[in-house]
Amino acid sequence: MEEFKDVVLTTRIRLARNIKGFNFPNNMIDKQRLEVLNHIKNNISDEYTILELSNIDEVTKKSLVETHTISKELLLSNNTALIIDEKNNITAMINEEDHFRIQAFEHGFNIDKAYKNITAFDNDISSSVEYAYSEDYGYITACPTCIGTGMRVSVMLHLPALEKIKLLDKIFNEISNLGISIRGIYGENTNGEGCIYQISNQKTLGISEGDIIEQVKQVTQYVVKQERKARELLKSRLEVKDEIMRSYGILKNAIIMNKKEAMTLLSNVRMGINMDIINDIDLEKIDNVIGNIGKNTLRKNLKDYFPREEENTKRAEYIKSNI
Amino acid sequence: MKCSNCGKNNANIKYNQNINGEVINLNLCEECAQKLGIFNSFDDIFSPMIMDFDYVLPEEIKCKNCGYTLSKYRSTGLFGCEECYNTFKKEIDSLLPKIQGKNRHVNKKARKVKNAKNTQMSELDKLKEELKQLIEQEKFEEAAVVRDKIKNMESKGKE
Repeated sequence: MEEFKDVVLTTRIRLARNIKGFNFPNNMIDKQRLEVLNHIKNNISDEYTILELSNIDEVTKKSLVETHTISKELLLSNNTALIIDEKNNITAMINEEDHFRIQAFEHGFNIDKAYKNITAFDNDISSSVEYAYSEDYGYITACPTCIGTGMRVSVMLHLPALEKIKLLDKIFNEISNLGISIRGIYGENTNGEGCIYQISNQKTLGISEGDIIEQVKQVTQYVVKQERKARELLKSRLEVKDEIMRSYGILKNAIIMNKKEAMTLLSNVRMGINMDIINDIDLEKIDNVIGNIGKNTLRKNLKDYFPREEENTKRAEYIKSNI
Repeated sequence: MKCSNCGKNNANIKYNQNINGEVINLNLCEECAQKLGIFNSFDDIFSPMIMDFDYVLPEEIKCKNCGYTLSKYRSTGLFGCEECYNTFKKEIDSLLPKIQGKNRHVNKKARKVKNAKNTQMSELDKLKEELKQLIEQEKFEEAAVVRDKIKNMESKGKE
């Protein structure tokens, strides 16, 4: 949905699936994981390309973690792989916590499109590979927190104004009573770097997919409304306007910039654009920069495998030339 | 089994000593084992060189397919295979409401596979198949090992 772009960055849906007859990945030795991988290769349609992690170079792997395409955990075991369906914005990790972790991705607030794509992919896979499923528990997963639908719908939100007026904790408490969890962008126990937070459904069992979607939609709409109110409140404050314009100035001129600082400044500029304080830059441009300033993503996109010491200068250069 | 030293407490340490062919087998409680200087604490477990003892924990229920136990779940937060959900059904049914609010699924059914090239067998079926092949190839020693594994699995399944 276009109209939520001021607050919602991306939408993701994840499905956890396992194949009948194999132990879960945590309870397998390398040889057994290879059997799972081969079983998938032999059965799913040739249309899908299966990329084995062992055949992907280090920089690309780490960049895939930075862009939330794969998890860090996927890098830890052998015989893990990735299916990429670029046309439908689908990726599937093989042999992570479950045999399949399928993910659909959309820019902005677009749960319906992500759901349509992931359902089609899931149906396609399940027509050639038999999933572990029980009448009582639905889709069987290694962790009982994912069982049932195996579905997690998550929305990435930019909440700088709520953070500034210190209302986040209050709102997070309200939300968690509704069965929705909220966390910083790099997983649990992380503050929202660049004021970016992810909300997602906690429960996967005893609730239908449709109800999960409805729940996440409603909570997202509620949080968006609150963030907009907070921005309205801050708009008239000169010191807020000053902070936004200073941030813009630093991003355009700095020579050295670490990721944390960049995220804070980009967050301020993003808020400035949505408050009509900055008018000469597109939101898409800023969102693109926010998604691409991880060390390895920079290396990959610049096709320059620079040494670690050069990271902060390369980042400052990249930002300057892209905003 | 009672401790062979005090005769009162339950014996949970098996003590086997073999010095120059002279074999002593004792079943002791932890207290007596400590008194006799056989076993001080788990930290000392590697110190006695000629002694060989096993600490026998009360038998825990194991998943008959993958061997997983509930204590393994408690330490990892994960189960070992789909069969675990049948083995530990009672415990899972009381655990799920705490983490999910409910313990039954309400949604769509998994689609039936139309064109699977390989059908999956359980661990047990795989072993039985392996046994058949080994016998055909007259590899009887290896077959005996597999046969014992099957027996073991089947007897656990009946418990």
